[in-house]
Amino acid sequence: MSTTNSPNTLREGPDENGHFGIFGGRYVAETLMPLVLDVEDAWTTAKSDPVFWSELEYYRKHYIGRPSPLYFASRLTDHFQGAKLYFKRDELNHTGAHKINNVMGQALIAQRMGKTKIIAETGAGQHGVATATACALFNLECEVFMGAEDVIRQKPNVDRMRLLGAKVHSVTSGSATLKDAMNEALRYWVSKADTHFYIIGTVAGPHPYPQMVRDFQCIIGEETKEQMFEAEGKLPDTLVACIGGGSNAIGLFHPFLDDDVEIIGVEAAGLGISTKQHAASLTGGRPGVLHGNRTYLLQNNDGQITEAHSISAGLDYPGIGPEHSWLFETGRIEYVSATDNEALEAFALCSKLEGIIPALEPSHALAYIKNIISSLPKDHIIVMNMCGRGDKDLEAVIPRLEEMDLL
Amino acid sequence: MKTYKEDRLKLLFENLKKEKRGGLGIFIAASDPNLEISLEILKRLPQAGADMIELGMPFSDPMADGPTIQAASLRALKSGGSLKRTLEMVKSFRERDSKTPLVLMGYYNPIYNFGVENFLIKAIEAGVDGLIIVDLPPEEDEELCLPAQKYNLPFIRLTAPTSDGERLPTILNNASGFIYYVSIMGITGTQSIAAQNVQNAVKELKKTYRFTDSSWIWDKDKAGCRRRNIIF
Repeated sequence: MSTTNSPNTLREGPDENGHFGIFGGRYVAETLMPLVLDVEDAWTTAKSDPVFWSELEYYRKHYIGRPSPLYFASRLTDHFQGAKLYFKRDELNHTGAHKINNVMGQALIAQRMGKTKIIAETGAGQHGVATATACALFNLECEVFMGAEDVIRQKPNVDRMRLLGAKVHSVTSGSATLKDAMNEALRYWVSKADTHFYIIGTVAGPHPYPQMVRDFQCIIGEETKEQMFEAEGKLPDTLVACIGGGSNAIGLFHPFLDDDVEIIGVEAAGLGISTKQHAASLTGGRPGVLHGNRTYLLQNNDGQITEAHSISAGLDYPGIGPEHSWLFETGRIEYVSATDNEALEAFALCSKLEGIIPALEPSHALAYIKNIISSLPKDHIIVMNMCGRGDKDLEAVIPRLEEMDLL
Repeated sequence: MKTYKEDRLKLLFENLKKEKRGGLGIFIAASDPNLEISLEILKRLPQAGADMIELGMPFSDPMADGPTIQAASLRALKSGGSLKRTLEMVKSFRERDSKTPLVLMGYYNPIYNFGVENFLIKAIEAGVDGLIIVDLPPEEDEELCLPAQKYNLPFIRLTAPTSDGERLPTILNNASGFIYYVSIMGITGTQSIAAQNVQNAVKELKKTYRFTDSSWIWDKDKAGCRRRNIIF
């Protein structure tokens, strides 16, 4: 392991070229570079403009419904007989997930740039729905790229997008999932440079996206910090969030990076890391370059990207945001994983004990918490990001729960 | 350190100038549809009229390519195509052809995996005359462009209709070999090019940059898996 000088803060990245250590960057075709640089300009200007933030604040409060509650999950806490468990209730946001936090920010930037048309990629469909929603609100044209596989798995979200006025492109190239949807969205963007803004849904892609999306999601952690002081008068001991691209996780984690708080990211182990049928880029991948950034990727010996697997369409991506790769290598965050079956058990448990039907994505976080919570002392506080609600997953989950005798 | 010395691209351009004609560059994806057929096609390209060959290194996620080249890339991978095998193809091609310039075109991740230094050594050894790496803009020159320069191996830059006066100097700064003018805003094979637009763009480039003396433009090809390039 290399020794690095420990900086005063872990929160100041990326550098001006978008690097978090060796990760991040701008690995895109020259045809895309001017677009990416334009977005960076617009973001840099907006970031330091109080008018921009007060406008966003208005929509956070009156449209998204922020702040989202920090909820003490008393029945799960009683059930596990260990640490106290809190949920940050981002599933209560308008559209049912954390994705809208980012979308509202980017949609405002798109309008500042004079763009009238929006494109987006989506996996589980949550980002697509959030984008379609913002576009309806702001009267922007919306086109969403979604892998053909996901179009089938997440039909309710496809219908929502259509209802909201978006055009959904079913992407059949490659493995027909999220990574291919992103390829296709990037291809499309090149040809529509003048009019279209690309709203990327996670903390990945070329600079400035990983930073911009993170900054829009940080509201999750900022609120949590304040709410936790109100509820318990101190910082939490442990933060846990699921990770696909990693936007909900970085949103919760980032405001706590410099604090004495344990931070755990949970990747999707699919059928198990040893089966290769998983989506755990950090646990089972290695550094590479895809979709505009250097980060940990699932790939074969030749550097060909391999297909990810997870029961959760939102985690089914062979990469991860570059800042997570950096935080992984620095050791600041511990990255673990949970399998499809573990997530399904947690899905059922949370529904029954808390009356909250979680999305499959945060079910992975809860599944990992199940492993550790009982052995922790009663005054230990865990905060989990409940980043989405599970209605969208019922079709996939119900038959599996019946098979597993959990329903 | 064994550096690149052959200068086949330069010689080609000098000849084309002397002969007062444009050149024909042909793209094929290495190992498409399999090694045997692909190698056979590659070897016959010069006698069929190719002045230069662009050999595509197959990649699972060719972000800047249209459906035709995506499909070619996937066929190649399915048949066992890899970066190692692409380099072997070049070596085999060079056994009988020491004149036709051959540039490798593709995406960075397989090279990054292979190891940049290792790749440059093997590519020069095999007889490669230049690199076109789609997802390495000037902002990432330290990855491969500067190491390639150290080995004297041309690193070919792409410019696009969106590359304005402000952007061009950045692009041309570390450029070598030739300038690759992407004549459409979009992915390969999706639109027909307007020859007049390209001609104007090249004229404009030539006015400002003495360095620029060729343009390679993309067009659809009825055969499906090839891309036609023209030098002005």
